Amino acid sequence: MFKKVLIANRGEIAVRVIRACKELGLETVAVHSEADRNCLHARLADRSICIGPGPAPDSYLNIPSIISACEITGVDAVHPGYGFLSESEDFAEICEAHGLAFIGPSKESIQKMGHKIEAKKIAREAGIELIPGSNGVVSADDPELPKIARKIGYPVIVKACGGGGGKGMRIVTREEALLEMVRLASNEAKLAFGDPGVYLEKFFEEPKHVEIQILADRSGKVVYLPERDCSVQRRYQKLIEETPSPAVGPKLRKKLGKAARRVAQEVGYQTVGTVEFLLDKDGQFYFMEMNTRIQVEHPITEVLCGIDLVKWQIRLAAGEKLDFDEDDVRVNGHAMECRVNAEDPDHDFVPCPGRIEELVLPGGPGVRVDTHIYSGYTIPSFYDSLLAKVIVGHQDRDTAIARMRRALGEFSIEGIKTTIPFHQKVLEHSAFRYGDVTTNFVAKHVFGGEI
Amino acid sequence: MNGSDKKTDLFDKDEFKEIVAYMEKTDLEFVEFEREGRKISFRRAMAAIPASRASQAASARPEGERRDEEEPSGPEAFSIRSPIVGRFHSSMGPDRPPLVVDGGLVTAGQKVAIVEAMKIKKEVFSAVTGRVLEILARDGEAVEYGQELFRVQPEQEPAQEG
Repeated sequence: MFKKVLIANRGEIAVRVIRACKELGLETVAVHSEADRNCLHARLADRSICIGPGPAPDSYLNIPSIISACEITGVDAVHPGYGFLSESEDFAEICEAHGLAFIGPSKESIQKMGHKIEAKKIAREAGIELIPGSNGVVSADDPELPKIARKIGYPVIVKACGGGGGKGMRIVTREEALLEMVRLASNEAKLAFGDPGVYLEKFFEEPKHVEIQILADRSGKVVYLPERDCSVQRRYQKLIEETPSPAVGPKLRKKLGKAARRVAQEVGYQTVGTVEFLLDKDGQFYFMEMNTRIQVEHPITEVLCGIDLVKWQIRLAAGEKLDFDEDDVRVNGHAMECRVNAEDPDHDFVPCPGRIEELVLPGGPGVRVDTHIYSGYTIPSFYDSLLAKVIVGHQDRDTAIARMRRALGEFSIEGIKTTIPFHQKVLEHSAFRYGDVTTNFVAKHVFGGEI
Repeated sequence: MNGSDKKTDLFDKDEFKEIVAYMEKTDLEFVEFEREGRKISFRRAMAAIPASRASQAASARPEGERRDEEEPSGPEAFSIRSPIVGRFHSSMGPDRPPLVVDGGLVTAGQKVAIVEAMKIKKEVFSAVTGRVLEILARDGEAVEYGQELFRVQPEQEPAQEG
C-alpha cells in the first residue's frame, strides 16, 4: 500500500480523495493554485503546495509543477481525480517515469479508450453493439460523405473524436445541411480538443444514458455494479443521476454488466472505470464510450451498494485483489444525486462565482453531501461551477425523490445563485416522477416552459 | 592524436540549430554540453523575473506550509518569490558562496537564488536594486510557487542635480 498520496485536483473530488486516503491511513499532499489558497482540500490535507497561478493550464494542468510538488514532498502515488489530468496518458506516463504510482489504469488503457473511434473498435471486438455510424473520421471534402450519412439514416449526429461534453457536436436532420454541420463541428472540435477529427452516428430522439461502474484488479477479475441512469442532462452535462435505472430490469442489467466487463477485459483494464451505453426506447443498448477515471456521480453507487469506490480505486492501484463478486453486492433501495452548480437557471445557467455569505447544508437520514464549500468561501472564476453534490438513498425511487426534495429544501446558500430551484422543479415534474426521462428531458421541458 | 578529426567543431550545424530551437520552444534558460572534454553552454538573455510586492496581508495558510507572513518591513518592501515549485538553493553549488547575504546589496537583474526541480535549475533574479532585509528560505528547503524567498528594501533614486 502507498505511504503518501498527492491529489492532483481540487474542489469536492480532492476532498473526497483526501477522505479516502485518511481512512486508509495514508498521508496526503494537496496542490492548489493561488486562487485556491483557502480551498477546503488544501486545509484538509497533511501538507499543501501552491503550484501556480489561478488559470488551470498554469496550475492544475501544469505537469512539471505537479511532478515537482511530488518530488519535494516525497509522495509515492498520485490521484488525478476527474477532469484535469485524470485522462491524460502523458501525465500517466510521466508519473511512471518518475517512479510515482498513477492511481488509475495504465497509460495504454487511457490512450485506447480516450480516443472515441479506437474505443468503439475495442467495443466491437468485445462483441458489443455499436451505434450505427461512420466507423471512422469523416470529412466535408469526402464525396462519399452523403452516402455514409444516408446509410446510417437521418437524423445523424456529428461528434468529435477528441472529447465530449457537447463540444464539436451537431445534429443533422437533412442532407442539405450535412457538409456545413460537419465543417462547423470540426472547427469547434479543433478549438476544444486540438483535434479536428469528427465522425457520424445515428441520432436517437429519445435515448437514455445508462452506465456501468466496473472494478478490475491485476489478476484480470472484473466486477460490475448496478447501472446508473444519467439521462437528466443539459447540453450534455449531467445534472441528476440515479441508480438503478427505472428503464432497466434484472435481465437487461446482467446484459449491460457483462458487456461492460467484456470491454474492460478487452483492454486489460485495471482499477475503476465506467462504460457508458445509450439505451433506446426498445431496450436495445449501444456502446458509447468508456471513462477511465472515477466519475462525478460515483457516490450514488456507493450509497446503493455500500461500497467505497475511491478506497477500492486506491487499493486496486496498490495491487490489492477484489474480494467480492456481483452476487455478493447487496443493493439497498434507490439512490439519487443532484449536482448543485453556481449557475443562474433563470438566465441560461450563466456561471455565478462569488462569496458564500451563509451556508446551511442538508442532513438527516439517508442524505450525503459531497462538497468543498463553506460559509465565507469565495468561488473562484477559473474552474467549473460545481458547488456540491447532494446524494440521497431510500428504499425505492418514490421515497428517494421525496427525500431529495426534502434535502434540497434545507439547502441554503446565500450570496450566489445556484441551480437548486431548477432541481426542485425537475423533481416535481410528472415525467420525471414517472421515470420517463430521456436525455431530451431538460431541453423539452425547459423550452416547453414547464420548468 | 594521429590523423585528422573530421568533426573539428564541437557540434555540427544541424545539432546546433536543434539545440537553439529546442531552447526557444521550451523555457530553458541555460544548457551546458560536454563532449570529449570540451564544453559549450547556451544561455537565454533573461529579463528579471517579475516579482510582486509584499502588500498581501497575512492570509490563512494551509497547515504544514504555515509560514509567518508578517506585514512588509518598512515602506514598500519588495518580495522576491519563487517562480516554480522546487528546492531552494542559496548558491550556485555546494562549495560556492551564497549569492545574497542578509543586509547585502542587490541590483536589478542580479541572480539571487536557484530553485531546482526535476534536475533543472531555475535561476531567480531580483527585479529591484536595494538592500536585502530578510532571507526567508533555507538552503535545500522545498518551496512552492509564489513563496516569498527574499525581502528587499528598494533603493530610492537620488534627486536629480540642477
